[in-house]
Amino acid sequence: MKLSIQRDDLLKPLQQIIGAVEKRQTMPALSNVLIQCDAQSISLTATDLEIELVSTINQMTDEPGETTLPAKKLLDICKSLSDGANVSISIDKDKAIVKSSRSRFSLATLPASDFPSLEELTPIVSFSITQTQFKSVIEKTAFAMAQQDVRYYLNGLLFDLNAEGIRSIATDGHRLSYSEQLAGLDITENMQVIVPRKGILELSRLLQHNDDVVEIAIAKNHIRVKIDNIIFTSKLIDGRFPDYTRVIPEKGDNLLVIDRNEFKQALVRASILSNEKFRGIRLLLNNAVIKLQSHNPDHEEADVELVADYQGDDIEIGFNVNYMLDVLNASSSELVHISLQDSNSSCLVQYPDDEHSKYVIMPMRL
Amino acid sequence: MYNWQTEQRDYLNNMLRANKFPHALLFSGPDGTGKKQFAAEYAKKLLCSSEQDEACGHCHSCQVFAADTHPDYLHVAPLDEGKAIAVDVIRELIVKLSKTSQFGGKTVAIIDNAEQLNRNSANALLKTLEEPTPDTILVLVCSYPHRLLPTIRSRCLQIAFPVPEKSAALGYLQQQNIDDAELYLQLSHGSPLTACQVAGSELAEQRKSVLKILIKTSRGQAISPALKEIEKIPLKATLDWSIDFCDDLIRVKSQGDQADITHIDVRDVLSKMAACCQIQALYGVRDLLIERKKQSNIALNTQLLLEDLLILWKQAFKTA
Repeated sequence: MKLSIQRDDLLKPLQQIIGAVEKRQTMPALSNVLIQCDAQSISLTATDLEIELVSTINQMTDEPGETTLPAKKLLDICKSLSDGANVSISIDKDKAIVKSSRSRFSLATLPASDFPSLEELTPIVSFSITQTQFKSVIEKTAFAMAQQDVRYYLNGLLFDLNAEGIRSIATDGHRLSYSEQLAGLDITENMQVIVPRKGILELSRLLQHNDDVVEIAIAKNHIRVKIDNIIFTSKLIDGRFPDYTRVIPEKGDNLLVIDRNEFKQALVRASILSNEKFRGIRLLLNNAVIKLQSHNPDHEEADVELVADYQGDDIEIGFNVNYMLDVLNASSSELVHISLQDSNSSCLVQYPDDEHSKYVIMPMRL
Repeated sequence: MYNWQTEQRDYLNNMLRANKFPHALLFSGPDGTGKKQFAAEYAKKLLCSSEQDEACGHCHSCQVFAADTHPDYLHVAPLDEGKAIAVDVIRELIVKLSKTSQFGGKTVAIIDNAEQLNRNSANALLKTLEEPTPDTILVLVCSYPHRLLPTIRSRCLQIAFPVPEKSAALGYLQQQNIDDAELYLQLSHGSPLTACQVAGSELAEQRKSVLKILIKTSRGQAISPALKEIEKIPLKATLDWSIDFCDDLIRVKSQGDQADITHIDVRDVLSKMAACCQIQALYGVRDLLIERKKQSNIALNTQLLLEDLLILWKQAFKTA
């Protein structure tokens, strides 16, 4: 194998895929990046066995071939070279020689056949939507994913697909977030897949807010997303997601309309004196006066009052302030609509400018 | 796969063909019979894309397996010999097992020395062990299955790996070009892999040193020179060989000179030693040795421990 390439052309793809290389590796091959060259292109692959990232560079190569090199070291070398420098990589026995002007590096290699790269997928469904659409369903919901829950199917984001569009749902059992994009997908059957937490975080890092098209393919065990020159593949979580439609309440009679920013700041103020572990906060609704109360084990108390538009019943409800703040941070809308039933039922949060996202927060007994 | 394991292999293959393969297996049997090797070898076969009786060795799956990078093969073992398998390691395993397999086939997880699962890690494993995701197979390898939690044991199909037939074991040892194969096999209580280990290591030398010290002690040598000698031998070897010799002395004592003993090459010496001690005292020594072996993970003061042991031996020989 032999290739020569501009430093910048190599650096960017390397930075894009480095996220899949884990620092703490049990298998030596996984700290390496797989480099495959054919006459027209170079592809770089990194994996941690849960997600795989492949970046393709269109570049003539001198001699086709494949090998694996230490990913972090190669990246550090490329970073340290000056802008516009030319890099050449060639293989000499079991070492890779990386050369750039008057610097020369000899890196240890491992055989490409030992690298656990994915085999060709056989997609069950494939469709395409714009980057913005895909990024928005992820960003609006991902914060509600569970972390290391024993109900392993909650440690990821559910994509529920049908011909109308794509829905994303995340829940940790205490709160749920739901977002949909009606994109008119070219698929015939409905499908649900759960993508693990790590894959979702990596995806949201890779996606940009623009109207470029991403191609998504779902196979029995994997989801593959093609973004520009990058192919992202993640394993799926092998489990059944709970029926989320039963969790989302109907719009209740008691609707609280309030300025998002004001409400957020009031919550932050009141939360200072809430129990550090449970983060409980009490919301008292009484006509146009909204009260937030919190107290902690040291018998310290906070009392914050707000003015808002509320005509419903008098309600006193407790909830985890962090859950509410997460929801308020997921939008940039001016107003927020909180619809309540009574103090024992979950509340539904929505934004007037976004009909397609719904947030459910379970109440807390305080 | 060793040639004395074909029965186990065929049994598993039959279940596989009948589509009745269990999701949790427990390979149990004495040390040194090749359970671990079998487990790894069989995992390779389960993951192999050809459907032969054994792994083909040239498909992509077999290749990455050989390079130790198979994405659907998970292996857990205690970090150090004698250390427990931590709960974090098991939790990590459970997370990995909840994901779909990379190659679309089975996922195989092996837990070596499963008796080293501590209470927390064993309990963390229960849910997954009972009901793993489809196409996941968990294999627990364990030399002391009675030490496992009953709730772990009852969730697995136990497959026994007994000590192989003597002829098979001897055949294997001869292949490995080991002299005195029969003696070493005897010393390892019939486990061929342990025999290899004994023959190729200092263990055999250490056995002789332990015996020498015992002979001298039986002849009335003082404790302090014996202590100097015995301190040079690793504690584990001292304890193991002492238990062995003690057992043999008890056998000779109760069954006479023709007793069925382990250390056949030193039968005369053992007979002579047996003549100058009481059987009750030997049982006392044995109890102490077993107790100390149980405590081998605790950092006891080695010198005191050995002195204690030598005094007890000395008293045992005096009682005759």
